[in-house]
Amino acid sequence: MSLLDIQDLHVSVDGKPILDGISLRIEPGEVHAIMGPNGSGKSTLSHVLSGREGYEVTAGQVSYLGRNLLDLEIEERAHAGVFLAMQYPVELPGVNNTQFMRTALNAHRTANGEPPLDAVAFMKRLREQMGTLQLDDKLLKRDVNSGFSGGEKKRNEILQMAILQPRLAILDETDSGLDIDALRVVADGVNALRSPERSMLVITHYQRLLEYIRPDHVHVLAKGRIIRSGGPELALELEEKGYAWLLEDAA
Amino acid sequence: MKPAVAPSDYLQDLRSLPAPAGDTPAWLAAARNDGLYLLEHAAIPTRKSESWRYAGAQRLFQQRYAATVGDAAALRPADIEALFCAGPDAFRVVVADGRLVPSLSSLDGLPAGVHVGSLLASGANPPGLTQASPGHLVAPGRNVFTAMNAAGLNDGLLLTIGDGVVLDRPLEVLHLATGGTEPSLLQPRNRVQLGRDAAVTLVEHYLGDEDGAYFCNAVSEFDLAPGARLTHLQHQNQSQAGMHLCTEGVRLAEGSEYIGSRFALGGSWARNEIDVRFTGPDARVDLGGLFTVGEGQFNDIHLDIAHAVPGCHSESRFKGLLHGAGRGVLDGRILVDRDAQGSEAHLHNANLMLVRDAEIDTRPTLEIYADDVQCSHGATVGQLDPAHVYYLRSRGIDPATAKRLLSLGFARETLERCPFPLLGERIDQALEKRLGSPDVQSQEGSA
Ligand SMILES: Nc1ncnc2c1ncn2[C@@H]1O[C@H](COP(=O)(O)OP(=O)(O)OP(=O)(O)O)[C@@H](O)[C@H]1O
Ligand SMILES: [Mg+2]
Repeated sequence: MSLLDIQDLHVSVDGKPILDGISLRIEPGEVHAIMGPNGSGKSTLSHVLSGREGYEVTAGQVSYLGRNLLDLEIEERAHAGVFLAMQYPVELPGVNNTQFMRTALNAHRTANGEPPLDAVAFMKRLREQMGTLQLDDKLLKRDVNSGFSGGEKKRNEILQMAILQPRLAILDETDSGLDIDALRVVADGVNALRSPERSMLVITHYQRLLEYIRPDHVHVLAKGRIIRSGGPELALELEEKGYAWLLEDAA
Repeated sequence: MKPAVAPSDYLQDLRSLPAPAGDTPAWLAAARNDGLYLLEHAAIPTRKSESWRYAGAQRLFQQRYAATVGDAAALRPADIEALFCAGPDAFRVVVADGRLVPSLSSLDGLPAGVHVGSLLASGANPPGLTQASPGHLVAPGRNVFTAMNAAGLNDGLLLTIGDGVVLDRPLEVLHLATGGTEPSLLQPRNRVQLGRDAAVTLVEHYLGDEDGAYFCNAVSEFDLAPGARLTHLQHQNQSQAGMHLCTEGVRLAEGSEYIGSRFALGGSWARNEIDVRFTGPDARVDLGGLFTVGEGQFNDIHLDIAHAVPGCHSESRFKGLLHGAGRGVLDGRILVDRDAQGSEAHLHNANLMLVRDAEIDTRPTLEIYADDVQCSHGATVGQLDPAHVYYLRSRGIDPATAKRLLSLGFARETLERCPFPLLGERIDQALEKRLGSPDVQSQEGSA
């Protein structure tokens, strides 16, 4: 059974079609990269998978581990193992970062029939991950993403991913805003999660990230459709030539 | 709403209020007489009156509150102990139904130049308590409530800090309503005087028995000499049926500083009325905090800040959290006189409305007659941001918990004003208790 099977997905926002028939299948353990011009619908796809309101699925279906993903509530998808590291993580003033992550983890555990972790056990787990991601302890005492630098926000997303241990991780431009060292640290964090059961959908504009996180497949999304799929070499080719030649081909 | 009780109905009760034990100073009788006279002639403010335009005071005259002196003996020291939260260092005062309770207070080690005690113990006429004496910051004749407070004066808290004295331990005051079966009237009275360059941190709690029905009609005056600094935190969590009015006057002489925080959480009807007067240049006021409105609750913050002299700075920032079908008011006025050049004044109010049937009236106003000033005012009324709720849900948090976390977050930001972690926790717990109520959860799916 595929982990994720998207078939002919059409999505509109405010009556305006954004995704125009996307089909994509991800097997357990695979890493897929999606590249494509600005505004082509990459983030839209990621939000539709995560369940954000305001996106109307006008045709097609998405099955996740054999279930109809689109039928699930946002939090049910999370409990089932879907995680989206957002392109623009929001700031949540007054909501403590540590408390937030513990609430999130315990919501997962409760939904999956596991006992909640107490503060001590949680902190232990959190500290282990902090070390891997080289995150400053101070960020734990602060409010979620509040006043975080662009790079700190992205690392905080990966920290959440590491804590929640998803089956399907969608990384939407996690590399943008990261300095070269941070990119390596984040990539190490992501690679540490790679396993035969876990799959990833990595959205990026840059081939550099894909040097660290080697994808099995690369797809090009343009105007709401996947216009080309290939292996890692496709990313290199895009880096060299841009998108114009593909867009012409597709037209 | 027609009042069922008239102000004059209180005359008899207040006149026969038992005198405090010991010698009653001569000025007390004069002050009470003034109060009684004013009360007899006072009218209940209606919405026609400018400062009561959003809600008249009729609610407070729907029933008669017995002007009795409560039973401090009923207070159990262990219960009281648990209410203090400004740390073990703090000097402590318990005021039950407006009367000081020395046996529950602890003032050992007060340094020279500091007086904390009953108003009555001050032999001389404390300034501001009678019509005849000058210097009151809250005039007895201001309205029916200040008259009533004066008419029933039979104790009060006097805090004086001498010139140059910096009290490095906070003073924590518990104002308690002891309850009882009958709806009662309690009238705390506080007078705080800081000498030149004196400094102190004052923490006040207004609390009552959970099922007490009472009217707490407090009057407080804060008088700051040049260079003085007062940090003042006020935590109000009156009972669900309690009525609470706190009328406060702050006067700032040259170069003094008042940092005031209000956490107005409880009561069925509550109003903070805060007057700020600058009498010397280069003084500074930083005022702010939180008011909450739950089901059936009325909570009103009323500010009147007058810049009459040059070079003063006032900053007022309040948040309103409306989590139930009740009503909130923030009515604030900043006046900058012609002579008050170089003033800086800001007044802002942000409100979070979690339920559709809550009501908020917010009116921050500026009246500026000087030309060289920096002023701003503004108010917002908003709902939770769906993008924030989405973010939390995408991490597996259910919508009700997500909304509760975000609402708490909104309110918690005001706790940055609170230097006492335990007080912060106390307020936090009160908020959690409120937001955990079905008030918020019933809104699920409607947002
Ligand atoms: N809520 C919305 N209302 C209207 N249009 C929207 C909305 N959300 C997305 N769109 C539009 O859908 C298109 C796809 O946007 P999307 O964010 O998915 O692009 P993207 O591929 O992620 O781009 P980028 O590389 O810049 O992040 C854009 O034209 C965008 O303006
Ligand atoms: Mg995007």
